[in-house]
Amino acid sequence: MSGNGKRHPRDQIDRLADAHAEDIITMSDEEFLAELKEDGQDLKRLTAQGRAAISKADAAHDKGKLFALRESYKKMLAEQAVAARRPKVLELSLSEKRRILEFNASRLTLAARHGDNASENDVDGLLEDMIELGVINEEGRTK
Amino acid sequence: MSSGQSPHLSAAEQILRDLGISTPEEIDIEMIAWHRGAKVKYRRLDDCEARIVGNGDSAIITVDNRFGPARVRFSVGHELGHWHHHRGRSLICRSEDIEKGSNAGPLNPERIADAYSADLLLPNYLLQPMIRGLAKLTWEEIGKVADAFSASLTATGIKLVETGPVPSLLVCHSKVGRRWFTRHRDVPWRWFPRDDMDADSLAFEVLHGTISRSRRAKIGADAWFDRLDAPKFDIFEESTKINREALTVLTIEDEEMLEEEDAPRRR
Repeated sequence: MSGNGKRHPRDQIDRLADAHAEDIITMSDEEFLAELKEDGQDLKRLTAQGRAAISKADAAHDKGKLFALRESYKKMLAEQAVAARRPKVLELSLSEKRRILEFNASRLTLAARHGDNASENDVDGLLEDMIELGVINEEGRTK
Repeated sequence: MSSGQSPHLSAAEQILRDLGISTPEEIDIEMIAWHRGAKVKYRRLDDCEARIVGNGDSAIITVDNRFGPARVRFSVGHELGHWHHHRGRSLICRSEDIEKGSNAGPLNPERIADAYSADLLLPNYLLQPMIRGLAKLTWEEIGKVADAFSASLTATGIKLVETGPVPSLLVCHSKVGRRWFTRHRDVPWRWFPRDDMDADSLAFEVLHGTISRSRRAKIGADAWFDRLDAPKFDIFEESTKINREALTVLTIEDEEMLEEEDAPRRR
């Protein structure tokens, strides 16, 4: 609105649109459909257009989730690159490492594809994972 | 769809849909794992190809990346399948369990994890529109789909045979015999592939000879099926060599072969 009391044409259009929107919102479904029919509108086409608009909005929202996920994943990768230290538990004997693994196994979800035996290298990897997951500390003690 | 479970989507497909994934290129398996609470690591593994260790709602998937990107992706998907279906359990998938493939029971955890991975990497809502008009199932077509989804030829072949529009079987032979097979839903159970490989088949040349892929050719059905009525039918075979094994697509075009004789005994 301008300072001299005259309404700006844009404001007038906005007020008109608001009034129309208010009318539509307060209408019952039946009144709304009857009005559209009276105007000669193709209800099927309008429904399809409405659904497409909702799908598009949904997709945009989901893509937003995908973007946020990418960002958090990148952040995790950057943090992971910083932390790399050989934990003390890896200095233990293989039998001691296996004992730690077996002692904690019941707390874990564990699945290995083509896993018939576990070498020391594989046991070390499992212990490192258990440290990272908070199952044991760096000395191999159960948390 | 951003909320609620769609009845026609599998659990894996629903995850992709919820993330708004609408093209095969967007299926970033590491990121999907992260979304599911699992971090993917790569390191040399001596006694397994991939594994998952989980505690509560967090997990670490470790994959040996010496096996090529498509197989690595499948392995990550497989471990995510265990994470989804077998959380809190301890499963060691031995080589022989995995090799049973579709011959293992439907409740076999390996098969469940494989199916999850296939749905994650080759989701039907993206795959089916692409293959709807497929008239012939050939390794060239399987290769095109595999490339589009960055999936392995084996995983793509299995998916296309099982869910595609062409009545067919996929049979895997090593030099010691048939290792596994799978079939299209319209192929009657009586067409059960032979254990051995017929020396007249083109697949024999792929498995034992120097060619890596045979041409698609017509052959008597008795080369592949040990049934009294097999000699009266012809089928099409085409083989490719993958890791010292021959994978053969058998396509059935004869309607009579597809007619059910007995009560259905499909798996």
